[in-house]
Amino acid sequence: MKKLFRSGAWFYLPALLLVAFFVAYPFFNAVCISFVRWNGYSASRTFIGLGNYLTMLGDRVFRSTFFNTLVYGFGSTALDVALGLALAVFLDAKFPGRNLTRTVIYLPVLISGLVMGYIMYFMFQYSHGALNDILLLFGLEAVDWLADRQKAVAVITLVNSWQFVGNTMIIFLAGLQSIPRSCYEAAELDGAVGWQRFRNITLPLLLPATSSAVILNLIGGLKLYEIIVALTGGGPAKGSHSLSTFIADEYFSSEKAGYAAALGVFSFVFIMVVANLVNGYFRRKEREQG
Amino acid sequence: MKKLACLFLAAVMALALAACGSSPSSSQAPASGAGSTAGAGSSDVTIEYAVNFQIDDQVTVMQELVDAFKEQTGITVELTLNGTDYEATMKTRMASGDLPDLWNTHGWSVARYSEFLTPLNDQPWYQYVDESVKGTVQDSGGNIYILPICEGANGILYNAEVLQNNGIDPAALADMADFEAAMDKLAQAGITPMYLSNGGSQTNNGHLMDAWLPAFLTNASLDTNYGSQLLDGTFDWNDSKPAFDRMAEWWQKGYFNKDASTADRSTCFRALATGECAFMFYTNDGINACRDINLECSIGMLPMPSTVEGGLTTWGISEGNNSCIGIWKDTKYPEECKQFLAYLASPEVAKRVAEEIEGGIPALTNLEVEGYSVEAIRAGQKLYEGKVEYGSYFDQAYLPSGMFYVLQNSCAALFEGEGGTEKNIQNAIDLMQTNYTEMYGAA
Repeated sequence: MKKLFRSGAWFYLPALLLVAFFVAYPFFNAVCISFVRWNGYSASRTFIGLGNYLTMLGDRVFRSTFFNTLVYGFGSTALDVALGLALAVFLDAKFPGRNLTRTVIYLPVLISGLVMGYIMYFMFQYSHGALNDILLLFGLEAVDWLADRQKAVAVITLVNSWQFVGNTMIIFLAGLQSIPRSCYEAAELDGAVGWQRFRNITLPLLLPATSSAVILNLIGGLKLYEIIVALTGGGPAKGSHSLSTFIADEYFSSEKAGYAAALGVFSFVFIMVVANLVNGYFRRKEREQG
Repeated sequence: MKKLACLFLAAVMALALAACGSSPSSSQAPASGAGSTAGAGSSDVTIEYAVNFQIDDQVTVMQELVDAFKEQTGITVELTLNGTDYEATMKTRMASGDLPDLWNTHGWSVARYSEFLTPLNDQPWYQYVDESVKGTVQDSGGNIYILPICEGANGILYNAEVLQNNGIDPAALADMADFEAAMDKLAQAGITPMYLSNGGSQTNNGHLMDAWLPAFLTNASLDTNYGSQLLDGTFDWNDSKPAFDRMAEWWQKGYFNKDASTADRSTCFRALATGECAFMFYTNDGINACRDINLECSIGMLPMPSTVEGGLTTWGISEGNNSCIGIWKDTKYPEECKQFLAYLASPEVAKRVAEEIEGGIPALTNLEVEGYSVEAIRAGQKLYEGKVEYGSYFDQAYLPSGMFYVLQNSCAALFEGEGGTEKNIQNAIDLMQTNYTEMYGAA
């Protein structure tokens, strides 16, 4: 005990307590609720074992929701990383107004997802929406952008990517600025130019930044919530739900707390596994690079 | 030094945790302070009253009333506002056993909240509760759990000016055929007959379903009435296909707004208030919501037309959304809460609640109410006198708690994508069937 005290290991205790209180206990509670049929508030709960998990397997809405979640996670990540990298490379160069441009691109990150969703709703809505007003101005027909599920999912993915591309850009900018000039000078001596420099110097040395950007965007996309609530409410006909919004709807609106808890457990495990696999992949790559 | 720093950090973390763990709401904190008593008329008590108001004026009026109550009794009533998250917040608070002393039950005093509320049949104002309202607010044992100041109404709101300009008499829309003929006339005149919202976070599709389904399933004029099957959990939702077919037909005929699948509720209010459309399904709250947008608009209310020629129209009634208040059964201050309800039930105070907050028909017989909204509802009820079937909202009368959301989703499924196809119809029916079976199993 004295050894433990002296080693300073007990510094971990507050953090452990916080994790236990805010993560472990709710998770354990959710696992318990996932085995019962319960409306979320009354005193009566019925134990149904794995019933809620089996319901999940046969639930058509869950399947489409899971697919949407993958699109939000991987789609947003791909867009964010590609665009964030391009912007970072562009804004790493010196030109007048560079800092202002960086700020403008970063600004949407500071807005809450819910507010962003409502702003975008006024852009995309059919009646009096900004986009349709522009179309009508050119004599074109108005489009109901969010009326079918594919379009709604695509719009949500784009909005999410656009909102958080500033974050990715900052991560890549930090990465770019940590690459020693000497590497580029050595490459230049070897005759590398333009694309060759980017492919063989910049990209490999940005691996730690790429790893952070991918994992942060992936986790953010996989648990996307606010933008969906404000933009489509999960519709049309539950067609644009992510796992997070579906869980909230099943718990609070459908009053299926047990099923929502089972979905929550699945979502937690799924995101953890995906994040760990991706993280492991990047660690391996970094080790290979030495 | 190092140890001191460690101790300091640990103390900070412990305090932070302790702060996180404090569960009573801020409004309850002063009440549990030293010197407070829970006896009748105790003057240093604070009680929490959770309200579902979404219009600033409603909050202002209630704040004035609770301030006046404090002047009279010394009892502080703190209003808790949760806006559009009201229901989710109340469900969370029910689950955690940390409820406000008083709250608005918005139509759910029996099916959802009765387990947590105090029966109020012994209160002096109970003798004034309208008999017609008792049917919708008392449980099987005859207990009522709220002070019902107003009743709510669900039906079809219309813009009187639009109808008049197009030569449509609202008194001649009692049958579905007449109603459809009127909508044809409007469509030909280039006016969207009916606005519907299935998108955004606030919709009116559940209100449409609440009015629509009784006309096809439970109305007394129907040859086959499915009321008892719905109640005992044996109803086969494939029998509701004619209801969904007719709605799909309305969509195909262009009676609904083109963006019915994605519009939100405020879009409907705006369209009705500005004369962009003639009708929308909603409760009496919608009258004030429209006049909030355009004070000049003339909004009326109709029952759901009969699907049988010469049959009964359907008028949904329920607890008023903003004026029915219950007391938590475990409140520390039951006498103060009852005192507050008695104050709200007094004719002059109840009149303000009815006229300025709810805008509904009074549910207390000693209450005289005037105002635009109330007159509009009364006029709507008189239009087809003797041809109206009054009944609780469909979901509250026939479905388990939680099904209102399913009604909303089912309607949304009918309008998704192309909308109104056989696939849409089947999806809507399947959604009802699955959830109905599941929830009856749970109930």
